[in-house]
Amino acid sequence: MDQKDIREILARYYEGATTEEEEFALAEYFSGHDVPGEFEQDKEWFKNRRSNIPEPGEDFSRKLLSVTTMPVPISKVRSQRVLWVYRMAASVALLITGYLILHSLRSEPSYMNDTYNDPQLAMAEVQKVLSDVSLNMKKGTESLPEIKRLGLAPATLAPFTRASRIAEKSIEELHSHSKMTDTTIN
Amino acid sequence: MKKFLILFLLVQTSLSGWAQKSPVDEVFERYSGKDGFTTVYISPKMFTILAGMNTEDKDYQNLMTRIKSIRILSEKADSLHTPTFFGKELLRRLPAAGYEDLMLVKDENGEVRFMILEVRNHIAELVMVSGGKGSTVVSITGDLDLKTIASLSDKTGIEELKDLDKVEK
Repeated sequence: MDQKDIREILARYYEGATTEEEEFALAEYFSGHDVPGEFEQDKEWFKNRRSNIPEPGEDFSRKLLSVTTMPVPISKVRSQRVLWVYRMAASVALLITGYLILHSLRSEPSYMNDTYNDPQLAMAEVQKVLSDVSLNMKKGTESLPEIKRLGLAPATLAPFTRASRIAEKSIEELHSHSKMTDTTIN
Repeated sequence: MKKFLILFLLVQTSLSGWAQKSPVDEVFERYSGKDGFTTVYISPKMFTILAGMNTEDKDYQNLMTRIKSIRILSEKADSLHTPTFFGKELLRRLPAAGYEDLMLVKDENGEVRFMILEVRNHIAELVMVSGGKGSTVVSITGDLDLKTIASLSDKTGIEELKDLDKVEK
């Protein structure tokens, strides 16, 4: 293979249009010692090139398919399941809460049964309770009339206040009069 | 998801708050039927019967229709029974539940406190708590107002309470 052939194959090689045999021939040529200086960079390229690209194994396509054909990732499926569990738990909790509230509203404590079935006896009890409450209230409101009287007190005192104001005014006038007469005498 | 959880918690909190019992209910439930305690309960149904018993007296009828129920819980004051002082415990808890002081009466027998629960400018409950060893709690529920309370005095001959009508709220 002369340098012209090498140049021609290299040009096709960099275009990606070479066959396996040609590439093999190039690799063999550049692995030799008598490579002209113009191919120095190409020699370096072929030296560093991985010559042995591993062939895919038998189960490669199966593995590839198993990954690419899986509809949803496992983590997503798991998170969706957890979401459903949460939703179910929340619904159950809501139902239980609703039931408990309704139960507590509907059911009455044991003491909430009429103590007296006979209305006459119930009436006697109501009167007793009301009189008890009233008697205690009476004790608390006994002083109300006195407070009322105190409330009237300022109104009662009002004429006196007016009288004292008139008296004060008259005294002031007398004072000014006496001062005026004093100055005229002097 | 977060929004859903927050909404759920909010709904649950509001519902549990709505279904909460008053301190008076709790005291009755805790002590009724126990040794040393006496409970009396007169239901709304009984009050409808009582309201129909004396239809001529309008004031009486008004009073009976306005009162919904009466509950009494009293504790025996004897040496065999250890006093629980539930009245004091109840009085401590009532202000936090919206009950307001109406009156405090102190005399040689101890003290009696009146507290009211107002709902939309109406007294929904009047609670009378007498302290000491033999505590007694009387709870009167209904659509009460100061006039109704004053009319209690008409039935028992207390004139001073009529002045409550004129009290400005």
